Amino acid sequence: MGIKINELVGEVKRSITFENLFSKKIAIDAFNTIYQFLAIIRQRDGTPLKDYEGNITSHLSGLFYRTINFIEHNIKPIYIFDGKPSELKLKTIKERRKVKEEAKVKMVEAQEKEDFKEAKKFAQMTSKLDSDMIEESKKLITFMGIPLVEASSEGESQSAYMVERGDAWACASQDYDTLLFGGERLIRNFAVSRSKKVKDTTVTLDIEYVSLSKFLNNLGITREQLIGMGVLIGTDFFPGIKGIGQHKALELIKEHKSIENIIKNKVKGIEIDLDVVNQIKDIFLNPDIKKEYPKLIWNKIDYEKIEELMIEQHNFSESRIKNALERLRKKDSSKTQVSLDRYFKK
Amino acid sequence: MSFTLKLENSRILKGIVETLASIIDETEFMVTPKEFTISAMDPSRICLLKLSIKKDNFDDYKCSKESKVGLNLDDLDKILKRCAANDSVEIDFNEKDQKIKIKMQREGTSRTRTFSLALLDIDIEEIPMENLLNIEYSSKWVIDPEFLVEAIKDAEIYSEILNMKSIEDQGLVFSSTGQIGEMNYELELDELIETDISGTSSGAYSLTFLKAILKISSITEKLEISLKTDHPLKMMFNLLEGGELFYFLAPRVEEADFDEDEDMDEF
Repeated sequence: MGIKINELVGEVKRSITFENLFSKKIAIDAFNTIYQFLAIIRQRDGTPLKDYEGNITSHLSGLFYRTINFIEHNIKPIYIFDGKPSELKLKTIKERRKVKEEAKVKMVEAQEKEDFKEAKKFAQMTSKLDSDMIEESKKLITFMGIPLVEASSEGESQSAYMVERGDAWACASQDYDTLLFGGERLIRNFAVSRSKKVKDTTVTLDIEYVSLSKFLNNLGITREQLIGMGVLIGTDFFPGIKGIGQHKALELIKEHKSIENIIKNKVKGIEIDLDVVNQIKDIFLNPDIKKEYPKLIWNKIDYEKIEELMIEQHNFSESRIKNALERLRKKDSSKTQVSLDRYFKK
Repeated sequence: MSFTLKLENSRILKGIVETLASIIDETEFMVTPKEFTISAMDPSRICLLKLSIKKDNFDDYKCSKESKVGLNLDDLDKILKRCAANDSVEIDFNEKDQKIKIKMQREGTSRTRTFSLALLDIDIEEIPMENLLNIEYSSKWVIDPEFLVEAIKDAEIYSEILNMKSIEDQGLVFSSTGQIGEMNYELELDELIETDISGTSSGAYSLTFLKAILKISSITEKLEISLKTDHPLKMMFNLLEGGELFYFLAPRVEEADFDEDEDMDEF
C-alpha cells in the first residue's frame, strides 16, 4: 500500500545488492515487513504457520531468517515500530478491516471448494497483526541483538528522521510514502540477496534503491508538490481522487504549481476540502517524531533466549533453528570486516 | 580514440580477467599512450585491485590518445577462456564501433578467431586511492606466491579468516583457528626473498577475498606483501611478462575498534 508512484520512480531507481549495503545501518519499517511475512509465509491452502497451541508464527519465522541474512551480510538493521496511528490513518485502517473481513469469507468459501489457489490469494489479504504478535516480534529482534525504535506515530516518518540525522543510512519499506515523509534514501524489496552474476535474465525482485533528491530533481518538483500529488493519487491517509493516477497528478501539479491551486482553480473532478489537504500535508511535513531515542546498539546475540522462544514456546523445528543459529555463531565469533572507505579518508 | 594491444602469451590477461570477474561485474579498461590500466573495487568496497602494464611489455601496442572502455567482465572472461595456452591475443578498439574485438591466433599458424564484445556505458566511480597508496607500512616482505596459496588453503580447513603476523628478526606466521583446531605456517627469514620488518605487525583477513588472488599466483613469481596492524593488506604482484598488480584488502577488526560514524557514503 502507500502512494502509487512506481512508474515515476522507475526512471531513477537503481537495482542494488546486499553487497552495496555492506556495513550500512538500515531503518526498517517493522509493521510493513511483518505484514509481508504474514501474507507470504503460508502453507499451500493459505493457512499461516502455527505452533501447537494454534498461535500464528509466520512473522517469527520471517523475522528470524531475514535478520540472519542481514547479519550474515554485515548489514546493520534497526527495526522501527509504528506508534499510534493518526486520525486519518484510522479511517484507512477501518476500510482495510472491511476488506479483510470480506476476504476471510471468500477464503473460507474457497477452502471448502478445495480451490487452494483462490484460498491462498484471499488468505493473504486477511493478515492481521495483534499486540501479542508485535510483542513477540520485538522480543525476537532484541534477542538477536538488533536495536528497535518505537515511533510516536508513523514508523516511516521516524525512519526518515533517523536518516536525516545520520543514525541510519536508508529507510527500508515497501511504501513510497516514505519519500513523502522526506526519507532521502529508500530501499524496497529488502530481502533477496541477489548473487552477483545476473545478466541476461531480469530478476523481478531486485533490491530497489531510490534517492529522494534525485527523484524530485528528475521530476522537477519539490517534496511539498510530491505530497500534493499524494493527495490526488492517494496515500495511507487519504484515498485520493478516483481516476487520477501518477502521471495525471504530476501533470496537474506542474501546471498549477500546488495542490491548493488545483483546488482553487476548480479543476474538473477534483473537490477536496482544504482542511483535509492541510491535515494530510501536516502529517507529512510536521510528523509526530520521537527525537530522543536510546542509542542504537547492536548487541551480542542471546542464543539461549532465541532457542527458548522459537523452539520451546513456538515449536519451530529444533534442528532448523539450531542450524541457522550455528551460522550466526560462526559470524559472531569472528572479527568484523571493515570496508576500505575508512582508509580513503584520512 | 582507438587502440591495439597484443600479447604473444594470453595467460596473463586470462588470469587477470578471471580474477577481476570474480570480484566485480563490470569495469573500465583505461589505455593511455604509455600504459594499460584497470582499477576495480568490489561492491562491498572491501578489496581493490589495480593493474598496470607498461607499453613495452606488450608485443604490440598502439594508442595515440587516452581511451576508456567499459566492459562486462563475465563475458570477457568467457571469451578469453576460449584462448588456448599457446594462442596470442590481440584486443582492438576503434571509436566508431561500440565494441572491442578480441583476436586469437594459434602459435605458428595463420588460424585466427575473432570475437567482438559490446561496450557498456558505465559510470565508474573515481576511486580515491591516494591515501591508501600513501599508507606507511611497518612490515614489508617478498615471498614466493606459492607460500601464500598454501597458507590460504591450509587456513580454509579451520575458518574464514587468515591471520598474518610478522616479527622483526624472526619472520612470518600465517595462522587460522577454528572449532576443530588450528594451523600455523611459519616462515623464517631465510625463506623470504626480501624483508623490511620493524616491530611486530598483525592482521586478520577474509579468505573469501584472499582466494580471489589464487589465479594470479600462477602468473607471477614474486609477491610483495605489506602489513600494518589493523590496516589494509597490500600485495604487489610482479607479473611474469611485465606489469604490476596491486591488491588491497580491508582487514577484519575487533568490533570495539569500529568507528560509529563511518559508512555513510553513497555507494
